Amino acid sequence: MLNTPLKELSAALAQKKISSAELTKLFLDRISRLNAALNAFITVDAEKSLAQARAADERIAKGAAQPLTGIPVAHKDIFVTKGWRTTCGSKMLENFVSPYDAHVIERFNASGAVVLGKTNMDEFAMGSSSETSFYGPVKNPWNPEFVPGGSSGGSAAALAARMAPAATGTDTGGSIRQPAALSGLSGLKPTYGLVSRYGMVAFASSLDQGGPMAKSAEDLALLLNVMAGFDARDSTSIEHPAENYARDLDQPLSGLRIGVPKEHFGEGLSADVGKSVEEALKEFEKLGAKRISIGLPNSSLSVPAYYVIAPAEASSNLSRFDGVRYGYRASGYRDLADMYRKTRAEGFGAEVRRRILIGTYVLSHGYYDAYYLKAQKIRRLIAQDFAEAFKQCDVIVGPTSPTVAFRIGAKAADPVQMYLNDIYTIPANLAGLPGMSIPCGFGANSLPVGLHIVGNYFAEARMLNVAHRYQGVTDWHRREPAGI
Amino acid sequence: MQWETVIGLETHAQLSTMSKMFSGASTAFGAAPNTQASAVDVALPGVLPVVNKGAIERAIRFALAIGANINRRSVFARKNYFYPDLPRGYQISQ
Repeated sequence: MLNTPLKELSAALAQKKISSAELTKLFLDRISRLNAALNAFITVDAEKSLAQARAADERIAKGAAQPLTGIPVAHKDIFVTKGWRTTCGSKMLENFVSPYDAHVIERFNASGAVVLGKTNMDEFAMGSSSETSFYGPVKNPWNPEFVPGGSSGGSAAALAARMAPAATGTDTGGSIRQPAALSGLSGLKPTYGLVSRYGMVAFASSLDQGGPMAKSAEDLALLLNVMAGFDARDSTSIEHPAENYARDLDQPLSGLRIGVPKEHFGEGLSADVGKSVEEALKEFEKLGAKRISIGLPNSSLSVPAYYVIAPAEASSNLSRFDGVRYGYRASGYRDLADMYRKTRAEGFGAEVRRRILIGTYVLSHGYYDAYYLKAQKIRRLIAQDFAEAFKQCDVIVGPTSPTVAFRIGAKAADPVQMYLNDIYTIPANLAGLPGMSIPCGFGANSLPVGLHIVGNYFAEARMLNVAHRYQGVTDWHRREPAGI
Repeated sequence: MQWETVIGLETHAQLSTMSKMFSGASTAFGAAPNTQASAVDVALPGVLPVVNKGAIERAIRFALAIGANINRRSVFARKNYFYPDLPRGYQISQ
């Protein structure tokens, strides 16, 4: 059951081969056995999960089941969940129990899925290693001395260690795709606006996008079917007609034009990752796809532009954490200003404080034009690069991350090295395009390598088709960490 | 040196909407304290302001009535500062 695809789990539940309560218990038991070592979950509440599972069993018995009814799903602790503690990886929200559900949680609940727990993450999603969490670093199940990637590293570790059959993540600069790559999983960041941000604790509003994480492209399609949908409570939610993202999974790839950006194969890409990606491209050619060399000339500007825009938006979004109404408040203070200062200095970790300071600086009077406005112009250029590229190709394929997973602590002292992890993923966020990562081999230290697929706006079904066909002729996505 | 005096007036008017400018909470007068504060008003984590369509319609009607120019594109900006009566930590202004 631990390795079973969602479609088969769903069938087993429908045929009463297993109940949702049994399935949920199976994963909860695995969590109690493995979580102490991997730190993938911040909050687990077996009673709540099992109550939901029993309700799902009743629904199945009544014949009212949907594809995900009874399936346990682990949620990144950035999606507020009614009655559950939602920390966003921060001391600031250590005791925050949400009185309402995020849109994504509402949709999973309506589908009959079970909340399996809340997964660990970089504090306020700021990080690429899941080390900045107030609740301690997440360990990579492939080798616990290494990071699982981030910021959705808890969801990644939960999936890789088979502590959950499905999970959610959010992606502002690569936070779904990079941990998927470093942990040997499939992850999809949808087109900006496809999944509602309502109830997703905001980091950088113009970039944040929720999406599914799973063991295969087929599982991602089933999860996206539930997650995607218009929500009037998010002004950037798009009224896009409902799609069945699994409809094209089996379409042949003959004639598919794959754009390979030369900028993503240059300096900085480690040889082991480059080799696996190259082999994956050959596999696609065998499947009938055509390889086209493309250029994304402004690619190198994406990391600097991102580290102006994302901190700028974060500095404003995180100002609500002030100790007045909920969350952490410093214990001793002289007056109001002192309460704000101490609360925010004590409640936020070092990386969050760094980004708030950078963001406040770039937005401050006299610097706005030099930094924020300029970064927004670069963002436009990057989107135009993609628009040009998609005139020649259907999808863009390259490495997700320049290296495989690195050791815990190896980049913690050097923010710029840490930021460069997301050099290939950030452009899709800046352009609002959908991107995904799927496993395509193993590199240094026998750690997983991720293949990055970027599609045009709303091309999720096509991207999932591309990934699914690849997964039909390879077994990288079926590999699992040994000894767990 | 010749100086020209230019005086601008900022005029505020409460619109007759049923709900608030950026949340669905009621604007009815006289209710018990804290009964008309929504998750958006108290700035819980994850909530997003959504502009009140009725307010925009009334503003356009007012603009038509006085012969003002109507901008086809309207941008909201944030004015950030910390104060206890400002739950989001920013004003939404234009």
